[in-house]
Amino acid sequence: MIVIENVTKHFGDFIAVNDVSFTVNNGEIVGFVGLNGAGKTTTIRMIAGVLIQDNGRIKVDDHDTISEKKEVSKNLGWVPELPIFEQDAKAWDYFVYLAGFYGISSNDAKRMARQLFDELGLAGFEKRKLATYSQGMKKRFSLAVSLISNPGNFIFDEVFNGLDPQGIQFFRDLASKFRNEGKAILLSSHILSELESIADKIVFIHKGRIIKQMSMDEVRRYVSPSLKIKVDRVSVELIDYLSKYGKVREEGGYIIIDNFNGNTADVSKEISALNLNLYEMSVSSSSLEEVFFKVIGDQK
Amino acid sequence: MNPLIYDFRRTFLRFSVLFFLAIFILAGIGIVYSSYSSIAKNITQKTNMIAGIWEENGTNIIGYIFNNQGDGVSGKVEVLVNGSLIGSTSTQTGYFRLKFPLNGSELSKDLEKGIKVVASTSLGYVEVPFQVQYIQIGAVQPSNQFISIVHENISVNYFNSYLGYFGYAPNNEAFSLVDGKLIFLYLGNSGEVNYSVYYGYSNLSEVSVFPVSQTSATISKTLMFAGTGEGISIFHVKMSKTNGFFTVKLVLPKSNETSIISSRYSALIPLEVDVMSSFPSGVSLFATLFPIIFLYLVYSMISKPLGSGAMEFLLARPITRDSIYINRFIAGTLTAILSSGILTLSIGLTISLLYGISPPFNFYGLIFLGITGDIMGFFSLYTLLAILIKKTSGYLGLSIVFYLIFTIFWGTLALLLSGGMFNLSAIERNEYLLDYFNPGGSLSFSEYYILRAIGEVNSISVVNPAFVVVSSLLWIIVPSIIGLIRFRRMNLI
Ligand SMILES: Nc1ncnc2c1ncn2[C@@H]1O[C@H](COP(=O)(O)OP(=O)(O)O)[C@@H](O)[C@H]1O
Ligand SMILES: [Mg+2]
Repeated sequence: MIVIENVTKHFGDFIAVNDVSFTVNNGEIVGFVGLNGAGKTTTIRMIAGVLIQDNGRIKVDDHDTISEKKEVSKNLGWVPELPIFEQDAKAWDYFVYLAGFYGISSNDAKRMARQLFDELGLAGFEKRKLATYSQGMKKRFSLAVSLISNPGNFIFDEVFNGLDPQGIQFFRDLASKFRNEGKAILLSSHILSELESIADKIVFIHKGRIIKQMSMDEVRRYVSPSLKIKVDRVSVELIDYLSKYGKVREEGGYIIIDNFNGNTADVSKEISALNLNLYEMSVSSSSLEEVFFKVIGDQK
Repeated sequence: MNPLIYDFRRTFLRFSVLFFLAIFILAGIGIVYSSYSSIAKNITQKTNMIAGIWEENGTNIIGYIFNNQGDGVSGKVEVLVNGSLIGSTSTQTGYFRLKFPLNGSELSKDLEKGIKVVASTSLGYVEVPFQVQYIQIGAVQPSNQFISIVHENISVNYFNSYLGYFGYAPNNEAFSLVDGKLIFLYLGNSGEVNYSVYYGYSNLSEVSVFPVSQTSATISKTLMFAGTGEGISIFHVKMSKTNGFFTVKLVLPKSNETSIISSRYSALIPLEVDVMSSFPSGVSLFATLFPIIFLYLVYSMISKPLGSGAMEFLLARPITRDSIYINRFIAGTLTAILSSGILTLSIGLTISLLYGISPPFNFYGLIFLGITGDIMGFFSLYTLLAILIKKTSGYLGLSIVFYLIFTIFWGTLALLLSGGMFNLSAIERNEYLLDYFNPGGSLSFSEYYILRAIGEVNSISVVNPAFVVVSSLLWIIVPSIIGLIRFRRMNLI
């Protein structure tokens, strides 16, 4: 469990994180959403204990990130947004070196490395210099290192960024798996829809402040999709009929139902009952992002 | 693996460190060897001579020609007055006696002009000039060319005699000290054959009374000249390892008189001075250039990880900032200690092998501490700079500037402070004063103490052992502690 209480961080006069509080419970995936520069990475660095806040407290499994830094690091896995390692180190050697910090002997570390590199799709790249790794490989390597202590808490900072579809799927599956294992997971992103299918809760951050926290259900309720249909013949009767599902308007030969609150199967049934041919029907998918901007907009 | 061992391996077992260490060792050996080959020309055996002159039925000269171990060598002896030969002889044993018909007043006149005794042997040539104003018994001071002896030859520079030949007050004894042997020449009264000799070492001035402890010299061999009492004896003496005065007391049992002669000597002969001063000069290249290697080590151990962001990833492991900093500092310290230890040993051993003279243990210690302090001072300063200036290029620039200031500009500063090139003692004094304010100061202080021990420099009031130790330690401790305090809370990105 990760508990953040009234955390503030300045860079000079600039307040990057301002009185931020939220909690990531065990068995929960929390989406941490905000525009670029909102303060997500800064918050995450403080949770990881690598940046020291000016005010407030952060606890990971009840350990303070400043006074009990070592315990926190043992209990927290972190895949940074852009992982940076010592450039000229070979992956394998660096893994063994880092494992030393977890009190793992060379031999155990090597055994562990073999297994983790295999599991995470890095097999065959052990002897390469980390500088030659792609973004995705660097993230997997960070994950491998994080898994040394099998921590109960994980942070993924913009983890889908720059990954190919398999990479994205890999991390999605991983997050779900971790949730099932009862770990607390914080997933940051500047794209809300990325988190739609996996997050249980969304914490919105804007200009260093938490502006809203919503369960995923609440977020979905916030969503007001539009239904777009094309039929062979538009009748007044049809328009009247569809009005009960939302606000109907015509645009370029299409009928659009804003704030659609029905289900598409019913609509298609009604249309055929009116002896009309349905050519096309779609639900707009940009609505999650609209929620995001609406939440931010509410704040202004 | 223990991260400390890993950090150490990644610092010391770095190609650049080992490569430059090897280069510096080779260069140091080269420097020692080149000074060896210039000294080697002079370490061949030389001819030495002790000789005395007096008037008794004509002019008498006795003497002894010997090598650097005090053993007699065969050769030819000639006496020249004013450049012209007035007598000659040859010897197989090294002892010689010459007599020629000059009476007292003629001898006196010739002494005013200058009488020279010249000996030539297979080892070379040596001369003893007698001049009436000074001495009538000459003890040659073989000039600086002894090897494997501990002491410089001692010349007579004090006399205590009642003899008044020719109206002058001559010496009637002289000595020479080589390789554990006291070669003692005595022109005694007839009948005073069984004299005894005592000797002692002291720090007292040359005109003072006999040193506190005195030892009876044991005679090894004597050449007495028939019936007269004059002769040359060789005594075994124990050599002293400290500088001071060597005093010889002659006790004449018949007349119950004693006579004391004394001379300053240094525990190391001039050759050994050269040899030992090649110790600091052999390591100086390393000591001046190795801080650059540490500039690079700090770059790769601290500055680059900080500047690139890799430090942050490291810090996300179960380790505190203090431990990361201290681990890396210890790794650098071990590297400094090992490098300077290896270098000190290899140069010291080279000296032992080449010259057959081993530098004393405390010289090893001084040089090792001097270099280690020098490297550590710079290492500590560089560490602080790397922490204060997160940007790697900024660190590199500034640390190079500091290196140049402390190695090159510091000497110039001493000149400026002393008002030019001419006030040498002020320059020396200011140089040492400024060394307290230089991270590499310990090196120049260690050289100072070695050069002082071998008598190459006089003591300089501003060099105080307590200040030297304190300033060297402060240079190591203060920047590294400030660096640690800063590192504890700094933003790594
Ligand atoms: N080390 C730093 N010094 C100064 N400003 C910083 C530093 N790190 C981050 N910032 C600023 O803090 C704000 C928040 O950054 P960040 O937490 O990285 O945002 P996000 O991860 O949400 O995109 C940004 O405006 C960024 O420029
Ligand atoms: Mg970010």
